[in-house]
Parts: sequence; C-alpha cells; structure tokens
Amino acid sequence: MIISKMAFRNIFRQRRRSFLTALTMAGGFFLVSISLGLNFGMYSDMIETFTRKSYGQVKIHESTYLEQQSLYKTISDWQPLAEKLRSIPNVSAVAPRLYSGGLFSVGSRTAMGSLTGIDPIHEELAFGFNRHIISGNPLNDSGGGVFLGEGLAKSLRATVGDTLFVLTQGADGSMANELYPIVGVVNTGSDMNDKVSAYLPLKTMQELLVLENRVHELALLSGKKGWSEKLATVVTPYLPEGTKAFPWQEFLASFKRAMKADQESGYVSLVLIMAIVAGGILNTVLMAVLERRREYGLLKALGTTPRQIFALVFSEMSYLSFISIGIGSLLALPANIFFAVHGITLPEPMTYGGMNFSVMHGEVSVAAFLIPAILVMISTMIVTVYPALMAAKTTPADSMRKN
Amino acid sequence: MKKMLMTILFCAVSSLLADDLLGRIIASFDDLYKSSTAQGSMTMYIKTPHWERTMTMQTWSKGNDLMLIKILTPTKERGVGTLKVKNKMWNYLPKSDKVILVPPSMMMGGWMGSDITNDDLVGEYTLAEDYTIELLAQNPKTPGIRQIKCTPKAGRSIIWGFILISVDEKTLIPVSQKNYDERAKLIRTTNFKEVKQLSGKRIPTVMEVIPENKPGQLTRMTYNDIEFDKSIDESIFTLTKLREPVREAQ
Repeated sequence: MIISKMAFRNIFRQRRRSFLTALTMAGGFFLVSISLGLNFGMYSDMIETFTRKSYGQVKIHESTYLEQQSLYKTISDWQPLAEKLRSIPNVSAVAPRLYSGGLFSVGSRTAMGSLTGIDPIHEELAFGFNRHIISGNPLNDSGGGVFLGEGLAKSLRATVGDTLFVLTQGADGSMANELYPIVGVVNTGSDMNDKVSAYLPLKTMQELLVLENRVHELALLSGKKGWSEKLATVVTPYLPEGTKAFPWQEFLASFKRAMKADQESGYVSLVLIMAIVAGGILNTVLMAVLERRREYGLLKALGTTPRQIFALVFSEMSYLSFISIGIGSLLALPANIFFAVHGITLPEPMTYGGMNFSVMHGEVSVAAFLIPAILVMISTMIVTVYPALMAAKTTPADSMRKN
Repeated sequence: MKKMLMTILFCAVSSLLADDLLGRIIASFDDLYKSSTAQGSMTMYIKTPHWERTMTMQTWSKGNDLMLIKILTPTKERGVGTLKVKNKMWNYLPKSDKVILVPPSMMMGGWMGSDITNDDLVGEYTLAEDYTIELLAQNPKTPGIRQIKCTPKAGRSIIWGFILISVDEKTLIPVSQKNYDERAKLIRTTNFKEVKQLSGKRIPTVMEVIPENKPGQLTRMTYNDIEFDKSIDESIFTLTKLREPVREAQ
C-alpha cells in the first residue's frame, strides 16, 4: 500500500517531466483511437453501401447457387415466400431478382453483359433503384423496357429511346432473343457493374428466360445495422427445402477477405505510432530512475527489498498510463464523434470493390478505445522493465557515495 | 524359302486389301449424309437434366461448303435458320429480325442448345484430307465391325486428340463414333442407328450424340426424308434467303 502511495506521489515530484510523458502516452492513445475509429467507420460504411444500395444484407438462393451459379437453380413460387418473409419483424425489405448473361446489341455495336430482372415496386422500396437513374423514366413507369448501366450504354453508344437486342439462353433450351426499348440509363455507383449490367422488369425477364414465377434470389434487408448474420438465422425457419439464407459475409466472401487483409495492413501504422510512444516513455523512465539512484540506494539501505523498488517504478508508470488513457479518451471521444457525424471529404473519390466512396466516416466503438488503451499499457509495461530492474539493482553504498 | 515368299505375298495382299477397305471406309463416311446436293427434313430431340424438346427442320446442302437449315416447329422458333457458306456460319432470329455471324469463339457452343456444336455443323474437315487414318486390328469380340483411328494432321485446328469410328465391314455404314481429347479421355459418343434406304442410299437415319461429361444429356437427330442429287439453286444459300419466312406446312 505504501509502495503505491509513494508511486502515486512520485508522479507529481517532477511535474513537467510527468506531464510530457503523459502527453506522449495520451497523444499515442488519441492517434490510435482516431485511426481505428476511421478504419472501422470506413469499413462499416462500405458494408452498409454494399448491402443497402445493391446486394442486400442477406440473400436467399437455392442452396448450392453460390457454389456454382446456374440458370436452373431457382426459387419457385417465390411470391408467397416473399410475403411470409416480409411479415417477420425486423425484415424491412424483400426484393426478388433473376440473373442471366447475354449478348447485347444496339445497331451494329455488340457487347456481352449481365441481365438482371428486378421487381419494379420492391426493388425501389428496398434499394431505391430510381435514384440511380441518370436519364429516362422511373422504374415503375418503364413498362417492359430495359435499363442500361452507364458504362454499358456508353460502350453500345445507346441512349434512351434506342432499341436493345438481347440474346441469351432460355430455360427450355431455346435461343431467347428479344428487342426491348431502352427506357433509362443508371449509375449505381459501381462502375464495374455499370459497365456490364442491364436491368429488365422481373415479369419481362421471366418471359424471356421461360422461367415463369421463378427467381434466382430474394435480397433481404433489416432495419438494423450489422445484423446480417442474425437476420439469416431469423429467416431460416421460414425457408422451403432446398433454399438457404446467405449473409453478405458468405456471398461477398472475397470482398470480406480483401477488406480484412486491408484492415490488418492498417494495423502496421498503429504499431509504428506505439513504437514512437514507447521510445518516449523509455526515455522519461530512464531519466527518472537515473536521477533517483541515491534515493533508491537510501531506500535499500533502510531495508526496502529490490522487489519493492521494482514495484515502485512499475506502479508509478502504470498510474501515469492510466491517467494518460483517461486524458486520451476525453480527447478522442469528441474527435471520434465529430468524424462519425461529419466525416472527412476525400479530395478524390476512392474506389473499392467497384463502388465509389467520397466521404470517409469515423465510428464510435468500444474497440476504438479498448485497443489503444491496451496498447498504451502494454508498451509502457514493456519499456519500464529495464529501468525498473536498474533501480532494483542499485547498490546502496555506491549510489550514495557517487552523489 | 518358299514359305517365306508365301508369307511376304500374303502380307502384301492383305495390306493391299486393308488399304482398299480403309479407302472405302473413309470415302463412305465422308459422304454419308452428303452428295452433290441433299435436301430433306429432320427431327432433333434434345434431352438435358433440366428440359427436353423436339424440333423439326428443313435442310438443304450442296457439296461440303453450302448448307441451310430452317426450323419448322416448335412454333415459337419457326423460321429460325442457320446458313453455312464455306467456314462461315450465320444464325437468323426472326423474332428480332437479326442475323448473327457465329464468331470463332462460339464455334464449340451447342447448336440450338443441342450437343451438336456449331463446329460440327460447319464441318470443314474431312477424314480424307485432314486426318491420318489407321485401320485397327479386327476385334474378335465384335465380328463384322471394323474400327478406324483418325488422328488430326498437323496444322488443322481440330480440337480432338483422336476419333475412333466403328463401321460395319460389309455395308461400310458407321455404327459409332467416339471422340477423345488430347489426353485420350472420351468426350463424346455418337451412335448411328436405324439404317434405312432413303433416296437410293442406305444411311443410318438416327444419329444419337451423347456427351460423356454431361450425364443425362443427349441429342437425337432423325432424318425423316432426304433427297440426294436433286438440283438446288445456289441462290438459296444467301442471307436474303436465310431471312425469308418458311413456307412449308407446320
């Protein structure tokens, strides 16, 4: 008890030095906390963008659809199922989709691409399709016309009012081919998708592919953020045999892996920040110990054990690190809140997974405080070991004689 | 000495006979469904694990270079046509009134969803000119059936490693054709069945193609009638004629 009291008092004996050490620690904490907050925020922004704007938090497919996609792996009689899913609490939207690849041609220009059949009402409700339309009619009034991604429209040199020729394979083995009026051009925010995608009203596409009343996918959203895996578990009991609910972590597995690798490489900079902080701490502690050699010699001469002296130095630095973490948190919390609310506008939009991001938001999470706190404590402890041992090893006679 | 001479003579005669047989097999196979001209009607039945369908069609061909096929039924696809001129091939889709030149990249794709590839239809290669043919020894288990091994000659863009064709020794009518890839893996089996006399020529009227890597799938072509050597005006093998609606009754 006396040791900890002494340790606490020691902090205030050299106030300027303690203040500078605390500043280094708190600064390190602050930087790590902010960069983690931004890092978490950026990735949750991306996930939100990916899931809420186009993919959905959960997708329901035929159980083996993700392993190998096929025209024939469909969900039959999807309407009653979709109604049932909509009645589940927390399921905010269910949008059916049908997919196929095809050959597109306008005039003499031809391109290969992907064709998606979407339900005019539910696609708009779930993902706000109409806000992507840069020219042409809204989806609801499009009749049986086709929407082209901006990139695809450019490569076909097509504009609203032109006629698109589509050639693909029908589910009955026939060469499904049709002419559709182009009713709109969309920019979904994903250049990659917009270069190849065309969208048809679901009914029209079902007729083209001879897949009446069938869909490849039901995309689901819940009102809650980060609820994908839970949502998949919640809807599973309602699914007919042969179908499965996949959270985004499964159907965007490669995106998740890339994101994780990216996130981990970001930790290298955190380690660098902490190494600089640790160097500063080591310097202060060493100075303090050297300055107090006579004091430690006297303590030892009075019967203090080396272990108690070790504990004294160690406790002093621990108290200092606690105080610094407190100060750091007080500084980091408003900063993290500020970034979470206002974000940082990037000078050039960043592209990730084909999506453009122009504002980087932070996130206020426990981890953004816990991780820097642990890092500050661990690095303090590691660099304190050597000076504390030096202090513990002080020979009373030598130290007192020298001074 | 006498015995040796006899052996040499026997070998020479039998190899001459074999050469003659081989020559006849090749000529007969290359001209199986061809003549100076041929026109007729066919039924194509396609079965896959997901769907099955039957199409009837009208065909015209002249030599090896010109061919026109028009689909009569099902109604949905009536008028869909394929024109081949030399090694080029076009498909016509009446629903959208489009003529599509089949690109080289799609040559190995199935024709009208069948197991017969566009490349088979173009069929610019012949056994006589593009393959090295070898008559295999008689298999005692299949008396009366001879087998030839056809290996593509260098410089031909043929995807097969080799082809084994079994023919009836007497009639020279093929029984089966097995196509292997370069790793000697069997890719496709074609069975020739129901030999009938059509237009003065005995031909197998049913050709059944079974892809070995797609279980449960087959394509069966049945020749309903065929007329050989009837004069056909070359002007029907044009894009204009390809787009003309079919006049034959459904």
